[in-house]
Amino acid sequence: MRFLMNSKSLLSLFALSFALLFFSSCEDENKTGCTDPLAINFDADAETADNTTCTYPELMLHMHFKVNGDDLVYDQMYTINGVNTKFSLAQFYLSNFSLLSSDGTEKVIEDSYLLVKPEQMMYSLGAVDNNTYTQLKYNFGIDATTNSQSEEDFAARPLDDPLGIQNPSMTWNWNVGYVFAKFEGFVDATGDGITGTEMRFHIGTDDLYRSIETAIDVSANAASNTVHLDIELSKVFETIDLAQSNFTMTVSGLPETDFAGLASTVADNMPNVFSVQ
Amino acid sequence: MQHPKSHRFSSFLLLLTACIFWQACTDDTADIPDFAYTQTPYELNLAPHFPALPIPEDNALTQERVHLGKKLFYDPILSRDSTISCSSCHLQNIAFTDAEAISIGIENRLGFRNTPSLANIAYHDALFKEGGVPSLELQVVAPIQEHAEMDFNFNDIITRLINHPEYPTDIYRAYGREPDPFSITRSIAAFERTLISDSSPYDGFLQGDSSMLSLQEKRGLSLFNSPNLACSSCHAGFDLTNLEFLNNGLYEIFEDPGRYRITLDDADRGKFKVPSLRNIALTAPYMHNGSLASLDEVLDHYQSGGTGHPNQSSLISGFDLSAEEREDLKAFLHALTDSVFIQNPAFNME
Repeated sequence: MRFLMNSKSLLSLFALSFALLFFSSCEDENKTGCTDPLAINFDADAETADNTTCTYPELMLHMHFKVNGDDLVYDQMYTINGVNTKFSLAQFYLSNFSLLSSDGTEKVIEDSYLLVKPEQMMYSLGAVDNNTYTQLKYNFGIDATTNSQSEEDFAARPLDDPLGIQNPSMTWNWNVGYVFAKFEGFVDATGDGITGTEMRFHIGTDDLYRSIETAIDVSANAASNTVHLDIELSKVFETIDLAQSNFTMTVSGLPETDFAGLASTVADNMPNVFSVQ
Repeated sequence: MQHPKSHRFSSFLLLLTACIFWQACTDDTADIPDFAYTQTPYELNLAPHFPALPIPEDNALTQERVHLGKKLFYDPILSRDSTISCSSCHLQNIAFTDAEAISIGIENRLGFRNTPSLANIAYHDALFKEGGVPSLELQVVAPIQEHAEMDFNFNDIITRLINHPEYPTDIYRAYGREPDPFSITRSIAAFERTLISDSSPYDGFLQGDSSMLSLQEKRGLSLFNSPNLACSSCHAGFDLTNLEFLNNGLYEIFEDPGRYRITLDDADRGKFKVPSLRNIALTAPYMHNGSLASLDEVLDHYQSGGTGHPNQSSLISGFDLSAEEREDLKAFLHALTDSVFIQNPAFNME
């Protein structure tokens, strides 16, 4: 029996079509967007997720090297623990960053390694979450796994990788692993007013890795967000008399009886060096 | 069956085309550019009594890599003032050592140790005398950056190599990369792995030809192996070293702490890697600091039983040798000289 378009069925057809039209137009008004609440373009109204469009806030660290509160200038005379001191090099590794938010959650920033030096002010920690952070957690030096260079030796890394070959070198020549910090310059060891004695602190090896926590207050809700950190170099040498103890390569140096101990003291001091501006 | 003219002609054209294609496809000078990344295997012909050469996965031996590494090894471009190359301290005719007590770098700067021989260095998995560096590739970095050796850095070396007429091509051919730390360290290590010394008279003897050692040298070998002298306890095996870190009682107090630098363990003070004795007659002066000038002085030391340092190997307890026995022993040590190795043109640029 063939279907006949009589007026009854025609009306039903219209009703059906109208209903379909109504519902399909509502379908078009239904939004597509980023549904991740940790993104800065989180759209609470989006019903269809397209999270490839999500954008996240970038966290920048702005590092300020200081000596006794003044901006660091290489080859300028400072007094540290009563000893006249000049710096010609001050750089170190910070690694494995994470952020604590006000609700207690921790955001780990994977593979974060920074070589911090006075010539570079801004460092990116990459994408974080749209959240309010109260603590920056990080470490002085390089973790033991990466420090063993068992997966990729530094000669295989590109030159712009902070863990790649550096100039000045940040790896030991006679051993595997990174030099966590180099502080070099001259001190007045004799008290004659002339900074004539070379100062060299090369700090490294796995047991000098130190964890650091710095209280911060940052709401990462913009595309770029900056934390300003002061690095107070005089605190690197807390309890150290630079006239007597000014040379350590961690396993050799002066004084000969305490070269490893001198390196440990510097490593122990590092967490106290950082503060938020 | 009829073959119309047109059919024949088109068959001919087809054949002609086929011939042209065939010729083009087999023409080996056609399409490959001059500097393609190529890997022509490097053939090592190790003596049968030598174990297989340890070669890392990311640095297989190819002729291109070995050639590049050799070129860099002999090139002072790696030093700040372009005066020092690897070969400045590693001279082939004396088994890749220098004749100095302490090696000398640019501007006559003094290092702090005696240059080791590179013969059979491929078998070492711990480089430097305290064994801190785990690969030949990583070792390359040290003398380049060392203040008293080449006093230079990779950034500036790479600038020089990029501007060099040949190196960018050589490096691309060998590693498919632009000049970078990877290609520099891998290529020099690849060349060093080919420095095999396996053709001394002693090697001939080890392979079963007893005529390769004279009667005197054989007497020396017996002394060398004797429990009383115990030379072969540490200078053991095909390469005359067990590659262990041992203290031979050279000093009461070691200024150079040796293995202690790595482990920070007092039990490792004064311990150094046992060197191979291959080509030993050529590689004076001896010891980690080149403090003993002759084989006689070395034998005097071991004969005396050492200083009695707390970490001294218990195998060193002193012995007696007659004048004749000493000459026999020294004759054997001279039979470790590999005249093929020190003249092999594959290892130099001439």
